[in-house]
Amino acid sequence: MNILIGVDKEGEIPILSKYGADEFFCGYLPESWIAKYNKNFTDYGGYQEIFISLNRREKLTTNVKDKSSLEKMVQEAKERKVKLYLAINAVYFPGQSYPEMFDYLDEISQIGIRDVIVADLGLISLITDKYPHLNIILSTCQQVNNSWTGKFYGELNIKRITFPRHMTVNEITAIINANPDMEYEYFILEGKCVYDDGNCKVCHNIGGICTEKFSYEYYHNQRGTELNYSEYQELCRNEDIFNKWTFPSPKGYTINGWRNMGCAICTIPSLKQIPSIKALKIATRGLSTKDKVGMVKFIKKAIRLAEEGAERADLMKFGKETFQWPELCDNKFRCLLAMR
Amino acid sequence: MVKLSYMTNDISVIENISSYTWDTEREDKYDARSYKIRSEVYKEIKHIAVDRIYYGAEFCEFLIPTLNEVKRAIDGVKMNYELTFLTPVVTDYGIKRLEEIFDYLAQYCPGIEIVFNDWGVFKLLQCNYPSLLPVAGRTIDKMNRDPRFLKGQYEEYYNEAGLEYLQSSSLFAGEYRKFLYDSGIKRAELDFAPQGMLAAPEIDDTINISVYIPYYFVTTGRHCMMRTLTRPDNLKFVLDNTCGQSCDHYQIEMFRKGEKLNQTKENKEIRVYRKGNTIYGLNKSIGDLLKQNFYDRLIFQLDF
Repeated sequence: MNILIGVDKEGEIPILSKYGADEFFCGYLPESWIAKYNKNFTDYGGYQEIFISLNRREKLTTNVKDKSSLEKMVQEAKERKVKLYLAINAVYFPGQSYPEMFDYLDEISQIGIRDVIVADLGLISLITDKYPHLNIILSTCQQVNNSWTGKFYGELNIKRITFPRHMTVNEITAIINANPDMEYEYFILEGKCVYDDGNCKVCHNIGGICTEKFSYEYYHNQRGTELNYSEYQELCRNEDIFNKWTFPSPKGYTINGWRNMGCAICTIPSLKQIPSIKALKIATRGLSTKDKVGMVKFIKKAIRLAEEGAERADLMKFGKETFQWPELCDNKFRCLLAMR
Repeated sequence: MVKLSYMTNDISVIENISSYTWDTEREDKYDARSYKIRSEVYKEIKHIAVDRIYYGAEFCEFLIPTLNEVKRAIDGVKMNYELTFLTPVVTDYGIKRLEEIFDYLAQYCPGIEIVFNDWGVFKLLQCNYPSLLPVAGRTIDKMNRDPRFLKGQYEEYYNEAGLEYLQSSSLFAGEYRKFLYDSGIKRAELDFAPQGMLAAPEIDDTINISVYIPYYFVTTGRHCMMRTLTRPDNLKFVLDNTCGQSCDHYQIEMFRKGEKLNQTKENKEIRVYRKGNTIYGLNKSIGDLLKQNFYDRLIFQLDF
């Protein structure tokens, strides 16, 4: 099992590669795209953001912005014989953006990019027809929840599928068994959201709706039926539990140098048996290189433990020791791919 | 010529559809704001002839009707209306449930429209049920639709090309339309996006388009507060094939004042509606939509 991790700038691939990362991905936003589709850079939370991106990260610091930097990163990957995937996984591209997309695909092809992460079916179709030298990895922004969806994408020249965050090990196994000729990857350390990437339509640049604080009014579907006190308390408590699942620790709280996030290391003993699962994905674009190194070391050790015969309970113990707050492991508030 | 469809999850409405009318004067104590907005929208479209009923589930595999309920819906519309069957995002569990229904529909209702909101369901139809007519549902369209922008804020945050981008669907891109057409899909459906909708001037007529009104869906997912309401805390986030179906009992209105984007006098609050695993917004700007001609079907949601 490879470790796939996001990078934002030149110099990160050599460092992360040294600590055990095997595959890399990044985003690239040319100035021409930013200028055409974005009014101004908005200062928000200390980062500059744009409103129309080519991928699922809108912060400029999470994207490579100049061609020469991307060229250097491609070179760094070549020298180490590792893959560098380019994320072009904006959830959709309308017709008027296609002239820019031709320019963009020409440019990245000339730079030496050969693997792209894509969500939009129009773009997948365009790449298949006009840029057959590009391998397509399906972004998690297209939802693959069942074996038939795997078959659908398998027939579309997709080389690898990224599984959604909210799956079970059994579901993943069944999809792979039904579509054994494809490659797969799944998320191993990741921020949590109760909604699905592939079916969320909000503009992420103003923040995820899952993290917004709303007030609530509850009412029965049956007209004329009033809520009683205990029902209301239970509904409120349930909302609170969902909020705490998304943010189980105070804002800014970090453990071992990185924030409290979703984890799936206890799935490694089961899923490492499946050869077509090629990579564990850590979506770290925008984090510091130091945080990324910490995560790679953590996952590398988890894989090694599994290879040495560690079972699910052993990995859970390792996770609890690393993340602390073991209760979050016991009550499954830290889980991606939550199992009983 | 634009036609109107009614969409409902209430089988009793379908069984009495011939005498059904939306009561625009009713005041709903429990759902006052939403009902009032829906009534305002309905007044603008009530002159359009209704020829079709949408029934099924779009977002949750645990809400797929039983075969018996589907049969009741077919009997309910009788010869007076066409029926379109809605299908949701599914796991392999949901695929099995749909296969039972598709087996029946293929035998007794060939040619019936099946709205798919999952490409796996489309593939299943294409391979095993070629007599059923696939329609690309509104989750298939990836256009953004965010209820948190307040009036006037789009212009504040987007330049002209950016706003046109936001108002355009990939459905208006030639490559995507060709892909749909080549796949045998002749109809695709869009939500009534709050930022407005802009059809490409050169749009061809290979794909017919429907628009859902007045609710647009904002987000959905497998984790569901209503599914696990009655579970112990340590099982609330475990995914399995069980559901408490509490969404049948509770509907939730969520509201807040603008936080990250400043509120204006015209928009003091942002309100969205949650039913089960899905959040919806309400778009009442029906007048703007009625001036456009990129669609030939409106789907009025009587409920959700």
